[in-house]
This record gives sequence, C-alpha cells and structure tokens, in this order.
Amino acid sequence: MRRQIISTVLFLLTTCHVYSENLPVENALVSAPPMVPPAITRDYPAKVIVRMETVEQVMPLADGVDYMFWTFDGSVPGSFIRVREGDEVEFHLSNHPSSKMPHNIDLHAVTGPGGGATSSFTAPGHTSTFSFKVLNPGLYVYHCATAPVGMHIANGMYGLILVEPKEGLKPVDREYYVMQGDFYTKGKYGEAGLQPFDMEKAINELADYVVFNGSVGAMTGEKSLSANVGETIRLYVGNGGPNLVSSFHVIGEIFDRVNVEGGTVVNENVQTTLVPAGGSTIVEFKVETPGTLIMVDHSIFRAFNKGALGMINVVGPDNPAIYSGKQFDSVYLPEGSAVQSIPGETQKLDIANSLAEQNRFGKRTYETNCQACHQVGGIGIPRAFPPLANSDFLNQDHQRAIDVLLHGMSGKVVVNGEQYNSSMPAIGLSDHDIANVLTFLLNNWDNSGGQIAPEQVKQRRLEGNPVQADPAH
Amino acid sequence: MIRYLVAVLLLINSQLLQAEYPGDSVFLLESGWYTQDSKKVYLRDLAGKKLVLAMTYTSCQHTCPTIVSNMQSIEKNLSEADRDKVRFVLVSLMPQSDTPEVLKIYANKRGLKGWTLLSGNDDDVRMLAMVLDVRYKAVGKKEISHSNLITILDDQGRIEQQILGTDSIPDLISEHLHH
Amino acid sequence: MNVIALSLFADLVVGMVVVAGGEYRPLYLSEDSERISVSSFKLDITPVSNSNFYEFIQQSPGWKKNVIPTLFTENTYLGHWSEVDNVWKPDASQSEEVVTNVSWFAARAYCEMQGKRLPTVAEWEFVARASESRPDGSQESGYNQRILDWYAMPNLNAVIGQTPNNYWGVKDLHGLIWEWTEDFNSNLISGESRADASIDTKLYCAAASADAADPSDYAAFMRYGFRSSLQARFAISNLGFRCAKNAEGAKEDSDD
Repeated sequence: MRRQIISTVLFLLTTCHVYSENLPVENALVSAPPMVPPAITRDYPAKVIVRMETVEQVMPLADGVDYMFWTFDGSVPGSFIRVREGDEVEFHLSNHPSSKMPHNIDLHAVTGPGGGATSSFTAPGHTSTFSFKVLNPGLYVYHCATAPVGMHIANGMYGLILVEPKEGLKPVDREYYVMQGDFYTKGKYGEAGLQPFDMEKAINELADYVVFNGSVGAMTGEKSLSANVGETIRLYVGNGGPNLVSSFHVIGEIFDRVNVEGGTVVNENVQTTLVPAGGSTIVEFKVETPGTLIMVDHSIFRAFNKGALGMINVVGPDNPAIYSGKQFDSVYLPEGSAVQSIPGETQKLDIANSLAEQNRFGKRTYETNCQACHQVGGIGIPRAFPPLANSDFLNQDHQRAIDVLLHGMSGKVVVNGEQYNSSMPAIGLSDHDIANVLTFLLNNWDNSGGQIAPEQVKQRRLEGNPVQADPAH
Repeated sequence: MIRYLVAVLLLINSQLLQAEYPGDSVFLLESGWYTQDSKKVYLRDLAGKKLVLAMTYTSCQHTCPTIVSNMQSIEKNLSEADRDKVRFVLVSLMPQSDTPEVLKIYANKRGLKGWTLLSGNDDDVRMLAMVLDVRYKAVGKKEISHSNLITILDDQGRIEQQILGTDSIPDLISEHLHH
Repeated sequence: MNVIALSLFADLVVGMVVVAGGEYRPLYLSEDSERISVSSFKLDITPVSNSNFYEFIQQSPGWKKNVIPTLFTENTYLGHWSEVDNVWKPDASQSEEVVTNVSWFAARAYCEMQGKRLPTVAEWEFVARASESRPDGSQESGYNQRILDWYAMPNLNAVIGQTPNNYWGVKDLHGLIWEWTEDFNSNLISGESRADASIDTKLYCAAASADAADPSDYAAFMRYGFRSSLQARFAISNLGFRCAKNAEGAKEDSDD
C-alpha cells in the first residue's frame, strides 16, 4: 500500500473516500475573466479536480498606476469555476513560492467549516488539498479568508464558482464573467506609480477605485465584450467588495431575467439590480440593436470617477424600429479625477520643461481624465463622443480647444463629418495640465501638430467663455 | 562547553543513524525517554512494529480521553496476528508532571496493557512535536492546548497517516494496520 | 576547539544586544490570561546571512544540502544558492544577504552551534513591538502602515542591516523577511480568520478561547497567521532567522 503523508485536517477527505468510490473523475472547467467555461453536458455527478494557485504580483490598476495584487491564478477576479449540483470537488490550492503571505480559500458554495478555509491554509511554496460536495445550485463567491480578511479581499483575492442545477441552465448565445471590486490606495485616484494598500481608507470605506475585473478599463475599448444583434447574453456578475454594494446596470438594456442574488428566484424586466459585497447576480438580456452597451455601478460617481465602467460592443444591422439613433438616454458628465477647483487648494503640478515632457505628462492626463469617453487612441464613440484623432475641429482652432477645456461646450457640433450633440463639461485641470494634454493631442493620432503653453491657458481662463458650438461651423 | 561537544557528537551520531534509517524516519531523532516502567528508551528502540502514536498528557480534561479511547477502539478491532505487529504509544506533553510513576498509574487506570507511555524533557517533546506537526501551547501552569492528532508510523519510523483524533473512524485506521 | 572560538567570535562579530525584560499582551489571548512577562534576553542585531550559514555548514556537514535528511527539511533547502566547483554555496553577491530557504531544524542547529537558541514567539513579538524611539511603538501613527507597506512590495534581494535600529538596537525585524521562532507551533489558530475567535475543538484539544487582543494590529495578525501555516521542515524563500541567548544570570524564559 502506498505511503502518504496527509495534511493535518482530514475529516472531509475521509468523507471523500467514502463518496467518490464510484464517481467518474474529471478536471474542472475553469476560465480566466471575462470568459466563462462552456456549459456542463453530463447529467450525472462526478468527482471534479480543481487546481488553483495563489500568486502575488504587481499589475496595472489604471494607466500609470501599479498595484501589488494578491490573486487566484494571476487574475482579478480569479478563475471562474463551473461545476454541477452533486459534484464532489477535490480542491488543490497551491501558494506560489514567491508569495509573502499564507493564503487559503473560502468558497461560499461549500457547506463546512469556513467554507474550506480551515483546511486550505497554505504557506508559500506549498499545496493544500481538501474535498467538499456541492449541495446547492447557484452562483457563489469565493475569496481568501486569511486574517486580516479585509486586506486579502481588498487586494483582489476573489472570484466566482457556478454550481449548475441538476437540470442545467437554459442555453444562451454568450456568457461573460464580470466582477466588481473596490480598491484603496495610499495615493488618490490616478496618482501614478506603485500604490500600496491603505488600511485606514479601507476601514473607512473610502474607495479610490471601483472597477470591474481588476482594473480601470479592463473591459473597454479593445477589451470590450462583444456580441451580435439578436443574441441573448448572460452575465455572471459578482462583487468581491470588500466594502461596497453594487447597483449593477447596463446602459441601453433592460434585464429580461435576473437570478436575484445569484440564487433560484427569478425577477424579470429589471433595470438595475443589487449585487451585495460577497454576493452575485445572474442577468440575461437579448440585444436588439447594434452599438456600445455600458455596464456600470449606477452609484454613478463610481462609474465615471473611479472606473466602474465596462463595455459590450454589439455589432449587426440597425434596427430603427427599436432604437432610432440616440444611444444614450441620459447625459454623462465624465470627469475622471478632476474636480472644479476650489480656490486655495494646492494641486500637484506637472510642470513640463520641453515638448517631449508635455507630450508625456499630457498622455497621462488624457488617460486619467479624457479616455473614459474619448477612448484609447482618441477614437471616440460614434454618435456620443467626438474623436480627437485626426480631428478637424481640434486642429482648426487651438484657442477654441483651450476654451472648450476651460469653460465647457454644448450644442451640436460636426467633427470629421459626423454630428454630435452632447455636453462637454469644463474640466477642472491646472493651466499646466491643460497645456500638456492639448499639446499631446495635437502631436498624436494624425493631428496637425503644435504646442500650447500654460501662459496661453492662463490667459484664456480669464478671457475665454463657454463655447457654443454651431452646427454650420 | 559541554553543549558544543554534545552538539558535535549528536551530529556525528546522526550521520551514523542516517545510514540505518530512511531520510524521513522519526527515528533519526536522538532523544532518550523514560517509559512508565522507568526504562530508558530511544525512539529507534520502538522500530520493527507499526506505531499508533499520540501526544497527550494524563491530567488533560478535554479531548485527550477521546483520543485515547479511539486508540483503544483501533486496538480492539485488530486481529490477534495484526495486534502483534502494532505498538500503541502515548507521549506526554507535560513531562515534568507526567513522571514514569504517574504514567504507570494512568496506564493501569485506563487499562492500557502493552502500551508504551513516554516521559522525556521539554526540548525533546518540542522536537518530536515539530516532526509530527503537533501544535501545542501551555495555558497557565496546568493545561496545554494541543492538536488532536493520531499518527501512524510504519516499522521504519516514517509517517504513514495522520488523522484527527476525535473522529470516530477507527475502521479506516485499522485498514492501514492490516497486512 | 574551534567551535568554542567560533561562538565567542560570533557574539562579537554578529553582535547581540540585551533586551530588558518587560510585559506585553500577545495578540492571541486565552480566556483568563494576563499580560505576558518576558525576562531580559539577548538577541542578534541582524538576521543570519548567507555567509554566516555557509560557514556553519562547513563546520557541520550534516546540514549540507544533499546530506540533510528529509525529516528535517524539504527540497527547496538553500535553493537560492548555486553549485560552484561541485560545492553548493552562496555566490559573492549573496554573502551579506539574509539566509532564507532554511528549515526550523537547520536554524535551531545553527543557533545551538553558536551556544545560542532561537527566540521564542513572546520574545520576538516583544522586541518587534518597538519603534525607533520607544519599546512600544504600536500606537505611533504610521507604525502599522509602514509594516503593511512591506506586504505590498514585491520580494527583493535582502541585504541585512539596512533598516534603522529600533529602540533596542535591533535591525530588520520588519521589512526584510519572516523569522523562525522556537515555539512557532504554539499558534493554535486555523488560519481561517472567522474561526479564530474560539479554538476549533475538532482540531485542537483546548479549553481556552483565542480572541484577538487588538484586532487593529494587522501586522501581528499576519505574523501569527504566517507562523500557523508553517511546519518545522519548511524552507521558504522569505523566511530566515536570528538567534537569541539568555541574559547572563537570567532563567530560561517560558510564557506560562
């Protein structure tokens, strides 16, 4: 008989020994966000082996902002696990040798002490193994439960495990994995560099970032989710917290079905649904028209000032019977971190000493304050936010450009032949920042070049006015 | 001075021992102990039979009694033939108060015939606990909180299995002890 | 005997300081515990370096990488050294860096060879509580955050002696590595934080509860948590050690 050295807590393992004698064994279906593993096709229980690794690594939290994330499988959220009601799960949790901390896992799907956390406490460079049976169907959060728990969760140690009901789920065309989390950094939103975790802010629930899938822009621009007109989309939405509850809403859609709190009760025709911290929801909707759908936490400052915004790009033929053209049904005032400046408040100034520095600082300012709407590469969003790339409007009149940023603009405007009719708010940035960002824009993305000096901005601040756009320009 | 000499001697000795026992054998520990019959033994003197071992202490009021009864159930479920190949061992976590005499009284009271009860010193108790991954902490002067672990060692001193001492699964353990 | 000389030398070369005894409240209490008193003791100023440990192995070849029995460590033992001319050793750039990837058994043997021992958890925590200017710096603003900041940093190569002296003249207690203690296995917490309010009687034979004395002492939580995840034979890349010694004339300290 083989000799084994078995880790200390074994009572669940002995249960496994009894149950799994007759079950077929297979490797679990897991996937990295935002993808979801395919639906389970078997109609009998199995012994499912899950192998996950906890690893601590520095990754971007936002452009220019790095953070030491503690992760399951190197992503925030961690891998999505898909099992079936009645399965026996044999869980192997490895803690990467480079980790500073011990880690474990508490799966809300587990009925048993600590949700498995007691059995899975693992030192760096080691693996713990434990087993459990999934008794209840539903969409469950898992997270690290090593003390101090708040810190482990705040650093990104959470994910979702889906326990399909015995009869399976109704098939849909697309399934995606979205998980919200709040982050607390020493520096404020957008402050560059490696930002350490701030325990005091976390205790006081003063989040600097609220994001989907671990970073600002994780599902925007090129990383938007995709779908075709006519498809039914199902989103498995979790909220790792640690603190904030999410008011999950998709701009441009109504949820046809909502599995309230990720459980069995179904609500229909819902605009915005609550996702508790440490909880989940499942939403389904059919997309009828092309365009960009925007996922937000409808506590709206989180969406536009802290990063709780993701996109679904729907392609296909127009359907004017359903939607005539105006994509957004409300006005958005994206502001990034900039606020109407309060007199007397000292602000950190990025003082550039050369064109190259203006370019560099301006790029950072763009990413923090403008990119949410005008997008990566300044390509804008059709019918919503004008492009800044190769923009005739921008290149024609530098002084007007300065005025737009300083004093705002409203009314119809035509840019590169397309009409836009939104509101651009005054951006509360310093003279230097405005000079830098405009210089950056003028010298990139096929624009005509040029340089704006802070003195010019200062002058327009005194003399300029809000710009009334003229459709006949 | 003596400490250094002892340290060097122990290391030399351990190199000799290594030749005899596998690298993961508990018998590589040099420690000397006293049984309930006041006989001096080294851990390696227990080689040759499988060991069912727990670290407890005689005045323990909490789960120790359950651990010991579980070990007794295991013993009862063994056939005559298998029983000869297994030794039951209790190592005291409180050697200062669990002297050989105290152990003898305890063994008689609980009916632990043929079992080996060991009393050593604090240092050796810690080494053995470290090797077996038994956690313990003195609470006040009279109590020790400790892991509820029963360890099965093979006849060469290698850890074969470790089980929570409070589980009522003596049959499973007995399986290991057959053959 | 050159072992004695080595030990005397060690006291002078590595340097130890005396930590005056005192009382403190450890993070995990039992139901009726009072503050724990720690007798005066001596502690190494810095943790043990790669070159220190290499010297030890040359004196005690039983602890060499391919000789040490698997009872006493695992295959990551001294994994950060390399083979030079058939000898497993630290390379020149590593010599003043802290030695890691050593098991409790190896650390203990090293200290014994020097006529010393590992510090107890009580002693370690008592000294670690100090800031630069006070024996108990835990209430100083920024104290906890500085320690927590270390956890946000990626693992870097760790040269000993770079952090300032704390109140006792001891360096590197925070911000470098985790350190072995003599009785690290006295932590009966499961590591699963919700259960740690009372000791799980399935796992442990115990009467006491284990409430945290100061739930805001996150750094201490982490240290206790880390210790609970360890087994004596582990060799981990950010875990090293330093040695302690009883102060002359003082009794062996015990925390009961």
